[in-house]
Amino acid sequence: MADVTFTVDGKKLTAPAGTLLIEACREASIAIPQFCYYPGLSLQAACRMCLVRLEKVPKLQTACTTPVTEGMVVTTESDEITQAPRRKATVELLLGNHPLDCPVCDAGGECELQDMTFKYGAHESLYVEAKQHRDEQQWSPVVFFDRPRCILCYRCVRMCGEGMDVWALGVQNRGVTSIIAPNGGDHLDCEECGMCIDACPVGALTSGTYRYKTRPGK
Amino acid sequence: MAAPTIINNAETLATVPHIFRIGGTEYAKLGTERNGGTRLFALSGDVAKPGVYELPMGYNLKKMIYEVGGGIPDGRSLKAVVPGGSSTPVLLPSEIDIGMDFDQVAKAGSMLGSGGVVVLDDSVCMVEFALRTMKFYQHESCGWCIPCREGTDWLKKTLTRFHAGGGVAKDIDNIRYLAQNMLGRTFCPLGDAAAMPTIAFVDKFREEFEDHLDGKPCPYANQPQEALANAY
Repeated sequence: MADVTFTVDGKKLTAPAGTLLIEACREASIAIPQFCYYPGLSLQAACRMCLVRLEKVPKLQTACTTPVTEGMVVTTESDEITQAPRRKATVELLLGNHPLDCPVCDAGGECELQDMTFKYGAHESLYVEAKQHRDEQQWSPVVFFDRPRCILCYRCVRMCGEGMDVWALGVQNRGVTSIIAPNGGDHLDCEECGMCIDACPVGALTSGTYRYKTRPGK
Repeated sequence: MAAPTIINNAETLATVPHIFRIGGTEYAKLGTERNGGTRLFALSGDVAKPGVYELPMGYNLKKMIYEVGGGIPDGRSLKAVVPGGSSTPVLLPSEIDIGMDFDQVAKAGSMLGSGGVVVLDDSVCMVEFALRTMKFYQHESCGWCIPCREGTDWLKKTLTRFHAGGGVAKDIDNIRYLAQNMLGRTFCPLGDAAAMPTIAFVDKFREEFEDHLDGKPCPYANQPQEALANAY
């Protein structure tokens, strides 16, 4: 497709028309935060972290679903976007039910939620109510699932289905009780490729061979 | 892809015979300039004669409540009006001398929405009303995106505790902050629909929120609350 020219944070960029904004920015080393977006998988637009300001568009738009067009003017980081009530607030909402067991979590240190919390500074606890808790589940000899840590980005579901063509994972319930669950009920009908664990941005899906035994990077 | 799409609901279809009968121009004249025709208003809550009324667009809200709806029963007075369904910001009695069309209600800071008018008398606790509204949205949230899934639930939890007397001063700003964080950030407009009325409840009835602080029981606890029972 023909190339189009557009502006991101004052920088003039060029990319083939139809390229997703989040991809075009990545090519130009502009990192837009993301949880649910995963290159190659279908678009989810569920995490709302990649919301950016497009000139002449009244509402903030998700960079992961917006194709670049000629003359588009984009702002990815400004107080309006990053400070509360913006990206910082989304992280705060995610942390509301998060167990914050980072010191013992397998993903501690390589966790995208930690990185976002660090970047946007959601360090104040706003709630006094109890967090939602569910016990950890073992879905197969290798795959363990810790619901409280899950941020419901649906990466594992899409990776397992679209990516591996196994379709062993799905979503149960709705609203705040939504939970990632194996389509086999209490166990995974799969060959344990581990891609769901790999795709998980947090420590919700962990590997039985590694879990609680060592630290990331070791 | 090239064909236009039209989505009709029962309200739209109900107007069709009348447009055929009197003609489009005459039908449009029933309303105001930019808002032609009639609207079905579902008048509910604390009015003597609740019901579904077909009225011209731009019909005065005050007249709708006091003449069409027969006014507030039991000698009580008006506290607030939700002009267009549970997602629309609440109006104070001083704000209801307006025509019920899209432009005029928007100018008053709310929305005509579905035309579901909820009338609240002075026996209604606005904190409880906010809680009841949020219970609905928390239950309806599908869970797809973060701000709505988490926001509606924390709002419901916070409002539940707050109304039960467990609130602290910080909660009032927190409730508003939570709602503000959902506004304009969600995948679909359900998050906006939950946020907009909540922000208005806090802004317009802050003193009522303050009345619930320090473990005080709800000052409206023993009042008859027909509007709450009938609201949704």
